[in-house]
Amino acid sequence: MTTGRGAVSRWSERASRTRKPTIDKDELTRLYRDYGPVVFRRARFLLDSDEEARDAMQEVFLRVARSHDGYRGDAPVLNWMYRVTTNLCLNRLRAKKRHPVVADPEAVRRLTSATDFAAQQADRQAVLQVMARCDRVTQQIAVHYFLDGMKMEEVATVVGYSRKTISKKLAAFERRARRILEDTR
Amino acid sequence: MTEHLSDLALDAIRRTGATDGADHLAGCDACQARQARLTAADEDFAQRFVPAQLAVDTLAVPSIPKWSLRTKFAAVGFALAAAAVAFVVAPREQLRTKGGDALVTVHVRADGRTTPVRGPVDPRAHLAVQVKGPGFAQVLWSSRPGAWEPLYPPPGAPAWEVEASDWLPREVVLDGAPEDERLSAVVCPTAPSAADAAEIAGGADPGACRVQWVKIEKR
Repeated sequence: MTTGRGAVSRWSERASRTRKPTIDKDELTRLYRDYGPVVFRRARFLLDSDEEARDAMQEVFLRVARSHDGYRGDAPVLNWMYRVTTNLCLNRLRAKKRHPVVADPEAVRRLTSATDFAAQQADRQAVLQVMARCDRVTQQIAVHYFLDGMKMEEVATVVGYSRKTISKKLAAFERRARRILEDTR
Repeated sequence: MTEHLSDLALDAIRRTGATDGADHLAGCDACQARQARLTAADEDFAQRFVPAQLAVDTLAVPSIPKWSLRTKFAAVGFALAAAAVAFVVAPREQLRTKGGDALVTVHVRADGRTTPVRGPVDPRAHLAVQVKGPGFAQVLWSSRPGAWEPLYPPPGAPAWEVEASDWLPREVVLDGAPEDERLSAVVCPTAPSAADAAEIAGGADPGACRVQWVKIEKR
């Protein structure tokens, strides 16, 4: 899949909030026009809030604006946008869920009993619930696989891990879901 | 995971003219319907936002000044010194985590048993909390120093009146995060608001209230 655009292939995910913007208004406007809808849609889906999605979108583009010179050019821009948006939203979800939560076993039960989860309209709450107990990489993979409906190859491309690692992490995610169910019996 | 195209593939086809999956899209009603929804979301975005204004707003966000190494060391030193002072001057009862006259005690629930916390706990432990009355109690939780969040009673719920040594009606389930946390109880003669309790837990004058926090160390 070819998703990159040469003119914007110079950013770094290692953006620093301490840097000043390195691109001008016109270029950032074009980036907002091209990728803003994707970023906002993903953020709204993950955060379930228009207001928070707007904040997250601005944070994504702030990273773009402040790290323009460092992009290694080794990932298509659209993939990069997906990954950065997912990471930022997971950070926000993590910050919100730092206090203890009471489990919702029914939502997790739906997740583990579905044979084709994405095809049956992903149950966002169930995925988020299990995700809260997983490591960061598994969280990213679970979002792309269960919520975005990506194939394993696509997940591997976006997060930068091998297909084998993706498969292992997804298996760990499903084990975690089953353990949550056992704990709540 | 499915035969259908993901949002990423559909975005790539729509936005960058990618050809992978285009044949599938042409013959798949379900993917065409999803593509139509994504297109509608794009139009919704265009109606809500003006890209040029978003760019102006983003560029107007001030940069955070970068700290030099010397400044960082100074800040860490100051924080350590402040922590040491706080330890010395804090009332003894605020540092106690267990004991007969403790205001709040934390227990681990596992395998049908409830045992007092005497050391680091599993990051996913189920905790039971006991608060000593009489009075109206607010139980708070902190993952970061000084940032207390109400845990019980939940916002909008009636005040929790504690008569003797009462158990928190809700089990606390840790979320697996490895960092240590703090739990505080504020017990007052009249029901305190969550905001007042948070201030008291943070060090404000407790007045007629009693306050105590315990550290939850993780394994």
